[in-house]
Amino acid sequence: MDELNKQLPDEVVLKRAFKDPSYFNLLVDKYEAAFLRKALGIVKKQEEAEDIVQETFVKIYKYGHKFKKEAGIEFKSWAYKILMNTSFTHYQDLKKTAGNTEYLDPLLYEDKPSEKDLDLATINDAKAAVQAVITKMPEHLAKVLKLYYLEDMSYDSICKVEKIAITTLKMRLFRAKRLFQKISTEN
Amino acid sequence: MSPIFKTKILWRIYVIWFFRRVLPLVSAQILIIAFALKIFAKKVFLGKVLENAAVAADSSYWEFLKYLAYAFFSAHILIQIIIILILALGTLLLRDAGRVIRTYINTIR
Repeated sequence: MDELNKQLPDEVVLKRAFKDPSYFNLLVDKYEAAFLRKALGIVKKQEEAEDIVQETFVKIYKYGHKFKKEAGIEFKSWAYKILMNTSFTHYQDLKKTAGNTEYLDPLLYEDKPSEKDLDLATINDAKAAVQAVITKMPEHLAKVLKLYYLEDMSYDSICKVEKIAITTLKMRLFRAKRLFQKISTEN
Repeated sequence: MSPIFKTKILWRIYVIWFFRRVLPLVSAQILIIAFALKIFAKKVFLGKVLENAAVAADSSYWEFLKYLAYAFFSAHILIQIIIILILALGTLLLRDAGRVIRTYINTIR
């Protein structure tokens, strides 16, 4: 890929990659190291982190047509959101197979971002920290908290997804918030 | 970063691209060609045409080409359309095959 292509905005590169997948090389080159660092900070195992990053890139390509650049929504933060969600799901699966004994490294804040992705780190560290606490919570509470705060879903949508009444949801959110506070202060 | 890791990602991207953009198009082209060939085979006695073409080819290449042109223009309009369709789609199919190989080389280097 020539230098000119490397200067293209990420969303343009992604759009071109739909027609010619060789353009996707540019996005992989740009983000793989940062993604891997972030995923490694969550799962602590190289192979698991590589799986997460691989899955993230595939999701970016698969659902890339849904991404629309708007004010305040950058490709970077969208891609990182996919990475964090994939890591979260992967981690939940790991926890299930490992019998709830494995915990996230709580020091996600201490991830040392390179200068290149310093801005990404500031966008994502808060979310990563929230994710880290959420993964320590029971699944039914973690899920509503994640849907409400991280995925910005409305009460109605969550009720539909979870097939629960709104009062149940409010109660779960209340309990989840209390537990979240408790775990956060313990850390 | 390990090049194998990158290749794995790009391979999966290539597969998605292939299934999304190439496979439906190529399948449609093959189906249409197959359908056109079926009609062609019903309407034209190809063995006889080839036999005559072989006789024409005996004299010279020019005679052979002249015979093919004569056979084409003497055929029914439907047959002419089918022949053009088969040739056009065959060319597109070859172009797509080339694109698949070229994209593979460009993507997974």
